[in-house]
Amino acid sequence: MNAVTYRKLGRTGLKVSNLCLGSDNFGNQYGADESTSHRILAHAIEDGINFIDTADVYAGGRSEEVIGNFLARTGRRKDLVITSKFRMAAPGATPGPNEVGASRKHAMDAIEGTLKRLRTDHVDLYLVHAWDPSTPLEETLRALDDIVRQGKARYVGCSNYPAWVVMKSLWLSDVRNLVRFECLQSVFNIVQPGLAEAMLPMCLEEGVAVTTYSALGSGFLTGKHPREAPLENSKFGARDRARGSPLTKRYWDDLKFDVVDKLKSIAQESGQPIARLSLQWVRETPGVTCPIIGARTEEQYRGLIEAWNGEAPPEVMEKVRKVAAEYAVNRSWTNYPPPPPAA
Amino acid sequence: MNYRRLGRTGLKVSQYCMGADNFGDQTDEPTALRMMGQAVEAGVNFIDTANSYIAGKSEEIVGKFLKGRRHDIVLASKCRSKAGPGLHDIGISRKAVMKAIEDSLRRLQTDFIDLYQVHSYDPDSPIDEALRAFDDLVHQGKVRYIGCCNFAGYQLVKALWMSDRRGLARFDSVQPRYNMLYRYPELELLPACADEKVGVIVYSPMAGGFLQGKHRKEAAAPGTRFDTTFRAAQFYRRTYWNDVAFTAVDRFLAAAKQHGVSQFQLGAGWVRKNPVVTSLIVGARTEEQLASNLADWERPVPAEALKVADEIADWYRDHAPLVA
Repeated sequence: MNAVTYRKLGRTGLKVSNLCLGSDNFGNQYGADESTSHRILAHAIEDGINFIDTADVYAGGRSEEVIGNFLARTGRRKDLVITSKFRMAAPGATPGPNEVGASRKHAMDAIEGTLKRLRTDHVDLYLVHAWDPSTPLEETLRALDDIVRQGKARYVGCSNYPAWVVMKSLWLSDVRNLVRFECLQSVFNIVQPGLAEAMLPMCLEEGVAVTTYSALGSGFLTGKHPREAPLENSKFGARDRARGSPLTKRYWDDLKFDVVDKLKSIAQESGQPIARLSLQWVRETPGVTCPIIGARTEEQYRGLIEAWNGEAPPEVMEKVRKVAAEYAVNRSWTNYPPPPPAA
Repeated sequence: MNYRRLGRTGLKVSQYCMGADNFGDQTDEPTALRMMGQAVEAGVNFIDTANSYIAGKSEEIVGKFLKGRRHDIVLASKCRSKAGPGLHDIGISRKAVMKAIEDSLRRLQTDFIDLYQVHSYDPDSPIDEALRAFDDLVHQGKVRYIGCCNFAGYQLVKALWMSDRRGLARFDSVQPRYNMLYRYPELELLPACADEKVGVIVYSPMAGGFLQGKHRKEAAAPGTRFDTTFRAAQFYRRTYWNDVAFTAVDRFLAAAKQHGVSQFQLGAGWVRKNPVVTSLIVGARTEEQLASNLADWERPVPAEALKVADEIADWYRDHAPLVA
């Protein structure tokens, strides 16, 4: 039995559950409505999860609002480690030139909006959602340092950065005496393993925490999709098409489906739920602090936590690691890091 | 011949760099000496060797060539790889670096190296220990500039951080493998170099000769880097010996023929057009190869041909196994 446990966020003294609840499904038309979202949050807290991840861009701010309403209603704010992010523009939105990016101006505006929606006076961890090559790193770090001094954030981090930019940021924080990125968040799963090449060894060495999303490849690795076309009622359906199908383009190839087939047969032979194999593979990779899971329904959440709470035996994981290692050498050009959106 | 500044430094190097890793092996000493003369005649001023190449023979041959023209040449060498049987004949501990430089200077018959490089990352020594040792070598006059080879982007940036923090000489160049069939440095290393104005000295611009198109899937051309009798054949085969690469080379040969350029013009031209690239280390086994490369170097490559080379390189990147 592998129940939720707590661990340090990188080198810091902050303790987070080794499983983080993601919320990009909350409050959006393809995801979970407010009451479902609140029930999922309540289940997660009951199961020991204290680490909640959101962003200003999720559902155009609705995700933060849904969480804010939950915090106000239940009074659980102080028990939780709340992460949010800034820097992106909502898909389809046409933001003003300073309503996007990692400039000091936008950082200062963005944190106010986030705190208002979350109905709290601080976030615990504030992340830059993606690298913004049009803003000097030093400007962003100084703004984040001021946000921490003002009490609006406790720790800061970054998401989807190339490894060299993370290292340069640590350098600048050191020589300018500014807060440093204590956490990095990026995609990581068996068919998107790029993080393991540079980022994980680097973060281990530098004491930076790593939270990872898409452990199940947005549902791809559960094996529910036929090769011919994605299931409509999924992240690969209408929701993806509305954005120009980036997810489908990233996952839909034979090599990745071969991996899914192999995972299916390992799951079948061993009697382990297929989701457990992928989740456990992420959890057992050195350098990973915790995966972030997301759910649209209570049933999905229940399935994920059951997969998490069990443990596949070492000989089964040996087979999973072999499948992953074979894929890692045979895959073509990596999707890591995801290219930053046009600023 | 064209010359470039090495990164942000004032040092001027020819964009064509003479690679010496085969001197004393597939290329014998008299041939190597004639070839270096030939290259310098054509304007090349940049020679790259390493303490580990052919157990020191490469440095010895380069040393013989340098006599009487030392100051005309920008001499690059390296330490870190295994250069002897001893515990301190490998790595970048202060102890190992101080021994390696003396051995290199003796073999090269000179009292300084222009560019002294760490041959590859060494997890067994802190990078600031090596940087302090290198900084001392610069102060002692034994080394003019320092660089690193085969580092990941983040490892380079960490080293720049340590140099900045401690006021030490910094790596002003990197030496990665880079060509149409190996573009991994584009992910992390090259953007970091552009940002920090670090020079990029590319090795294997022709994919170890694979782009010459001499090989058949069944058997490599004899005497080449892919010949299984070659000491480092596995290093080259691991990267390029796959079906996608053979298809890419067929397309590459057709494109070169169609545009009336040589394989070297097209393959090197593709690398040269990347503005972050300072120099290309071009290896040659024979005088004929070298003469043809040097002549081709001066011939312009039509933009149309480079566009097709881009298409082939993109197609390869998107279809070939990813080799880190």
